[in-house]
Amino acid sequence: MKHTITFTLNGRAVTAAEVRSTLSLLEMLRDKLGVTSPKPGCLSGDCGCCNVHLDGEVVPSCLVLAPMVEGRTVTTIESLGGGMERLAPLQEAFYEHLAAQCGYCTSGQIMTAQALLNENPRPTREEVKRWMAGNLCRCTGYYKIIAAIMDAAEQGEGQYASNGKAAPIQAAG
Amino acid sequence: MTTIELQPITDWQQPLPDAAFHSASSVDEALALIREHPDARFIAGGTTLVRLGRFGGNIPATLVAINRIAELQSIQAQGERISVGSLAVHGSLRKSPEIRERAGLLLAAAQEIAGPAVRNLATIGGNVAIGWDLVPALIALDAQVLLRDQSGEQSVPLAEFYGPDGQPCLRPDQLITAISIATDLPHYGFQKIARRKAVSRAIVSAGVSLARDGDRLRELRIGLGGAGLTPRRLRAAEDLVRGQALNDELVTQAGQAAFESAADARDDLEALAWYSQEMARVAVERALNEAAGRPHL
Repeated sequence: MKHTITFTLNGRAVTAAEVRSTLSLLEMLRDKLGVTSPKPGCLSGDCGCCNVHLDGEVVPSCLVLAPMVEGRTVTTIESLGGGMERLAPLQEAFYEHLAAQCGYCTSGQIMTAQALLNENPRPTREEVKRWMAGNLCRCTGYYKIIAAIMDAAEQGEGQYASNGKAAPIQAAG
Repeated sequence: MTTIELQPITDWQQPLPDAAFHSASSVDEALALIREHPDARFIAGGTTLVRLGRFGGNIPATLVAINRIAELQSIQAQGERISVGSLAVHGSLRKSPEIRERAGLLLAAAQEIAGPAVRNLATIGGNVAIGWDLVPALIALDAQVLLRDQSGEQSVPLAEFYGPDGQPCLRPDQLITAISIATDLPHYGFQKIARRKAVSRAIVSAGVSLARDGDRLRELRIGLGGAGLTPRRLRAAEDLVRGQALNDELVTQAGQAAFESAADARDDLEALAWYSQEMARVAVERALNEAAGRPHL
């Protein structure tokens, strides 16, 4: 059964046509709409690589069927910060702490952490660890990721959209 | 109810087979749709069904989505009890003052299930419909399942909701509309034993709620269940300790009662039957101690 799905993606109304009932939100974002920041990892909700925000709550996009997104609001990491020029505080902290290595899990890690900071701007380290338990990283270990989240929170800049204070991306090296 | 049989992972990233899809915006509409399409199944959060499809299981050819039914999403006080709408997601429990202040056991159990992202999709009704890890805690809260079908509404004690095979007594045309829980017993303990602390399904979990009268346990309820263990209420263990001041010997006896009750444990992907049975004892002992404010590890 084919559907035409209209929803709000990163602040803009988008329409995906010819969408199968059982296509996941992840597949719709990547294959129909060209938004590739949510990564297919386990495809069963265990790894967190595909996490996005649905109506402001973090969800694994691999487990959401596309027709269930009709009329709702989806946010991916593309809308954090000021686009490609300015990083959001969390992104800046991940960069500063070298909390990304291969980067495959990173957009999911950051979207998950952002959901925590939206609700609880000053979490304890234990709260961060518990909250991030559903996001797997196979490169860095978790210390740098936790350190980055704690740092972003301590800066008191854990608000949703970038407040513009974050520095522009520096060229590496 | 579809039996979940995990298959070796093949065609890992193949798309799920297509299905007809209908979305209901009210309970009446959902019941009408399921009547109109007798082969259809309800889909709420989708976490079980989509995973089932990914692991090679058969998914229904027709789906009736109920996730938009607003009337089933609320959590409300009803006198001494709380009615949790079946479509309330696990992640919404901590935002409910009713749950936070009067049903700490439910919150403690919900926070042990999956991770925050999955908890934002997975519904309480779905957890009950598949007999998952929330159920022992709900049984300790004297949960009643409210069911609706074309002929009307009925209420079933959750402790009597599952057959010997662990499957719920639920027809495809029946919709779980709410879970009603008691708030009469203020102290609680919840213990989950799993392969790892985060995300994994429980080998067994135990929930205990109790009220004290000085040193004595005035009243209590104990729920037990797991991956290979049909959810149940442990009345025999409750009777051993009710009215008593808890001590090590009584806790051991309650654990033994849990062990004996769990003799029907089944081999499962999470653990073999004998291990689940041993862990039933451990989980109940710890949860009882925790609820009574005694050292529990």
